[in-house]
Amino acid sequence: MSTSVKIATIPLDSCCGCHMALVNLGTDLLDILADNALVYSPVIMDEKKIQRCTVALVEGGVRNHENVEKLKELREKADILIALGTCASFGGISGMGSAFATFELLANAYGSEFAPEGLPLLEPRVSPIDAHVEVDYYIPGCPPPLGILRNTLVSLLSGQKPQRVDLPVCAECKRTVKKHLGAEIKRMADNMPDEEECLLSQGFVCLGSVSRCGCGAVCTHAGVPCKGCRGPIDRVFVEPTHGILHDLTRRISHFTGEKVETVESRLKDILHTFYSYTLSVPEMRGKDSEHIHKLIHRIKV
Amino acid sequence: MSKMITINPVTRIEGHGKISLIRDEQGKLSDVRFCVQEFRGFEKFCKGALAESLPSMTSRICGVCPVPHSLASIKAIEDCFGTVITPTAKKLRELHTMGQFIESHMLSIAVLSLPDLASRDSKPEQRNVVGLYQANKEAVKKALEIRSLGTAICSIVGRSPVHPIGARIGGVVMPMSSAEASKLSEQAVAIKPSIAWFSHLMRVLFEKNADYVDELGDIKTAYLGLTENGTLAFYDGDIRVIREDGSDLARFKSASYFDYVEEKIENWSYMKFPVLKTGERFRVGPLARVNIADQIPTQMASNELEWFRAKWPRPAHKTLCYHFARFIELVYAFERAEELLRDPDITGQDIFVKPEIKAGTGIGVVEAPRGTLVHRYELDDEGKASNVDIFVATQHNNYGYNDALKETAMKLMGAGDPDESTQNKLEMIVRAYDPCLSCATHAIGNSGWTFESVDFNGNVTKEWSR
Repeated sequence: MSTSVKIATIPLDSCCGCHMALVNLGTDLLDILADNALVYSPVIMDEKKIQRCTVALVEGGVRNHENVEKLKELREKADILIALGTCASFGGISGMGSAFATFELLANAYGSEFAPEGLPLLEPRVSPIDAHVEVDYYIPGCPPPLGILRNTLVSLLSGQKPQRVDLPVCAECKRTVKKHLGAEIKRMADNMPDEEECLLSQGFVCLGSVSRCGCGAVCTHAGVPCKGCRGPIDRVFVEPTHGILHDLTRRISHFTGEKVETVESRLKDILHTFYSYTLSVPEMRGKDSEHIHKLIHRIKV
Repeated sequence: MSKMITINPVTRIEGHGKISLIRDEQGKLSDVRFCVQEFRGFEKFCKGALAESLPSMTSRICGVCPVPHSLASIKAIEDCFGTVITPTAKKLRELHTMGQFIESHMLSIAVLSLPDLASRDSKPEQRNVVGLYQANKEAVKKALEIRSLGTAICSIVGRSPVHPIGARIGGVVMPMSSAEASKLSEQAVAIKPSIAWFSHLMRVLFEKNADYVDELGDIKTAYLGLTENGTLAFYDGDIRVIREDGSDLARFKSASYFDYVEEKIENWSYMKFPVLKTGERFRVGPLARVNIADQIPTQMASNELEWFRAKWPRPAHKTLCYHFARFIELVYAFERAEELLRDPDITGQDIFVKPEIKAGTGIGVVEAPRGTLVHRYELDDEGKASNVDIFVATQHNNYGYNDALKETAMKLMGAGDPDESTQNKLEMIVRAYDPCLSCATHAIGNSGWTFESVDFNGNVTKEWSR
């Protein structure tokens, strides 16, 4: 690579796992950085001020007003801004914080007397970064799969458009589907799944059929139901009549022959099972077919 | 009015933190604080989750040490359900832990801290892993080669890189194939010379930086950590606490943690900190564990320990000794991983015991790379979490950062603002602990941090804590 591209990375409301995925690229990353220039990255280097850059990678969603300020400053200084990972793309795990009022979250941690002053104030809800600034590319995943991360970065740095995948995890899963009429919903807490059969058709709630692939279906191959960590596929995301809970309850109903209402009544925990990565996506919140609008904290104006 | 200078953000650490240096009305340095600015509220939004959702959710507290979070979570649930796992499952989890220690410790040593020790006189813009790579390709390549074994173990045993899915309530999700075990064994054999090469580098760097080791963060504390019959242990064991003179203060089952540790309020800052109920301040993490262990059961790590103890007799207190202790543990994790990979049990097929869901309280304690990590859950009769408490290593070292920073800032700072070199020296103290503020800020719950309110001139107008 001959042209020098200025790169910045920033963690907002996150676990640093996406930065770890970058570090996991190993010497590939160092070669990329040696040919280009890392100009701002508080996890890796000592520069304290956000610098002008060609490509900015943003890890994490927006939880407080300092996140908003840093994000906006970085957007102004970056030619291309990338949402790195599921928190930046969809709000991610801590997006579940939107199920509660900020005072409830704070009171649980600090007691009800707590009155924050001078601290970065919490935004009323968690949000993905595109609720605040324009985003040029998304690399979802918790964290993004290494191959996708490497290919996207290499494409962008050489001026090409990165490839996009929009297939469900089932496209990469080798398990086979069977029908079990009248079957109950099974729990991973006290069951070991069969090695060959589709997890959903066995009765485990697996989000694979509504979630974006690219991960190689590592979870379902290991016998662990997909939790949708790369977010929903376009159809589920964009079309008003589709949704995570909506599509899955119908699919379970199809496998078991039970009514959709019966399936739904047997679900023990909708929030953490279906929306652990997407509760804070504004597009999903608007869907009548979903329960998000019932689970999320209402802001009273 | 008092005046505050901040070093913000502290760089080359995981997460968002700042150092506040506070001068009193006479302009004298009166206090130094290490503050954390973020909050996610895990302990609230995890409530109501089914037990099987907790390990993968709580692992998202931290992308740097997700494995111990996942394992502490599973151990807490198994403690509640009364599940006893098979030897194969336990050994796979231990191997997983060793992989995480190799990965996390080498990240701290090579990517975050080595630039301070190896390029101490270089310009700030070159003082990072990229600058180091340009100046000394071999050192960084070998470091990343060693780290990649940890990443490979975590990917194979964890069944997914970074956030793991390999362990489950009742055991692990699938057996390890002999092909996988031999692949990892071969990789371990291939990097063994790099470990010896790195050991030489670490010793040279510690001799070259003896002045820094002596000067920065010169405090004495008690130490707390897990041990198995007096040897170094990460996945399981009893808690041992030693006094600052090295004598035994307490030994107890990890489930009794809350009988020995409490939070304290300091009248000078309203700040709560975990302390021993006997009043002693303690530290956790690599230096604590190495000080607590009577011996290390593997050869190369024992050699490192012998060299270290000859220079810094037990218990070693200098804060920068955390780096060498971290390297000793990395060598141990490497050797223990090699041992486990040779153990016939590791490819055993007996990996799962069917748990029985029941209500109760469960405590799971493991050593994370940064120190003792405790998850405590209350589960109802459907196995749903009605209460979630998480005590992370970074919080346990709260006195550690603050006391060490204060000691050194008082020593180094004159009347003016600290120059870049002094600022970096203070940041080096923080880096020695390898704090994970992703953990501290996201799991913040029942341990105290001080928050301060500052006006537009940088004056502290109000402080509070919980």
